[in-house]
Amino acid sequence: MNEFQGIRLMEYLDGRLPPADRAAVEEWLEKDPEARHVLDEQRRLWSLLGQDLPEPAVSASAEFRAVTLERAAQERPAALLPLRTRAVALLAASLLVAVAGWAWWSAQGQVRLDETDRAVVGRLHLLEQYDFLQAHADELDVAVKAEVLRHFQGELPREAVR
Amino acid sequence: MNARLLIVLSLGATLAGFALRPDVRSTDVIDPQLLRANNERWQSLPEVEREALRERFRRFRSLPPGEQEALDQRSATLRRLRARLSQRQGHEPTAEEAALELSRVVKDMQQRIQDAGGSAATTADLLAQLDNRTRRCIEAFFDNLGRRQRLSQPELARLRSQSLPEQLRDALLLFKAEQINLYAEGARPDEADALLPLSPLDVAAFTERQRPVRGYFGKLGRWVPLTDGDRKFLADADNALEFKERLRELKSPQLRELFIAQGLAAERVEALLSGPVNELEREADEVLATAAGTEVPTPH
Repeated sequence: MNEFQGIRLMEYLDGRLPPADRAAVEEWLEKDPEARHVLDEQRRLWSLLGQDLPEPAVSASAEFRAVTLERAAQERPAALLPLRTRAVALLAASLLVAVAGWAWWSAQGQVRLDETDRAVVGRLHLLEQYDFLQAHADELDVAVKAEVLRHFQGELPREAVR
Repeated sequence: MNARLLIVLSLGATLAGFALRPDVRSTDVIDPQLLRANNERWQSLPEVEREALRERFRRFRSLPPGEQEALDQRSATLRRLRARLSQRQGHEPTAEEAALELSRVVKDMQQRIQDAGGSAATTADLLAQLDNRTRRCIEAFFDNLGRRQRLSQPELARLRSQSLPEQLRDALLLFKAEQINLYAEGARPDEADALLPLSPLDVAAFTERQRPVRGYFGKLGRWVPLTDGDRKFLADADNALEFKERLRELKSPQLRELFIAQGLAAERVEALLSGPVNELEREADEVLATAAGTEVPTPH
């Protein structure tokens, strides 16, 4: 059987031949046992292509699975901290910022004092008690000297102290 | 774990905040704690009151230096008196209560002078006598430091030419420096450092309170330590001066032995044991500066 005859048979099998050609091929098949044999072979293969074939065995072995999962665990990007830890860290950071802000704000308050105000603040107690200090000057002087003498009488010889 | 982390972080941040606050770091000689308290009070005052205080400060600054110093001393004494009263009463004393306490101090001093055979009928009399006594004590203090060459002759001349309140201010500063140096000898460095920002009279009051516990300060404290028996014996001393005199009397055999062993002449030792009691620790610090060991000589 030549190539042309093989193609005619495939066309016949596919049902692509016009009726006249189809009748000519059937006549030829009745006469030629080799042509019939070839056609049967083609039919058989053709029917096999339409059947459900068994699935190939491609599932991974247990060892391959373990190695692959392990490698994946090593190569994955770092996971985020748990939500609760992140919330606490955020709260702590906010507190830090708040305290730093308060310190800065306090510093601004202090910096705003000019030289005179700083001197006034240094003696605020004296200035607020000014009237009392004037009104009780002698008595306060007695208290000052009494306090000073407690510490300085030891500079004199014993007989002078008494 | 998380809560603890939060507390630690917050505490750390708060402390850092306090440390960084500039009003804690004083550039003045004023106690930083006091300065901070003053600043907080200042911030709370209305502008009208602030202006009145500025005006009062201008008046204060126009006074002669001696009078300014006297006002400073009165103010510091009033602050300590009010603090004592506040501690005793459990509340801030009123102006009347402070005035009453001052009257009590004056009466107490008058009584003491009467007990000693003197007379100070009025506050002015009492003040005149106290001024004389204070002047004598301060001059003696300057002389004692001068003899030890801790003050130069020009410095002594400058100190003597000042008014009494100014002399008092400088004497107190010198006394404070000496007390801290002596106290630091047997104390932790941070304990002595903590005294630096305090006012001289606050430092003096602190060392006076420590005296019954530690006995002698400076190098003498190591060589002649206080025993529990000594403490019991000295417990009823009326004041710091009496404590120091009784301590000297109690320890005189050990002191005599120690000074003789360090090469001091017998007359000098006797002078130290009967002279100004404040001189004892100064002399000991000089004599023992080069002495080796801390073995306390046993009296025979």
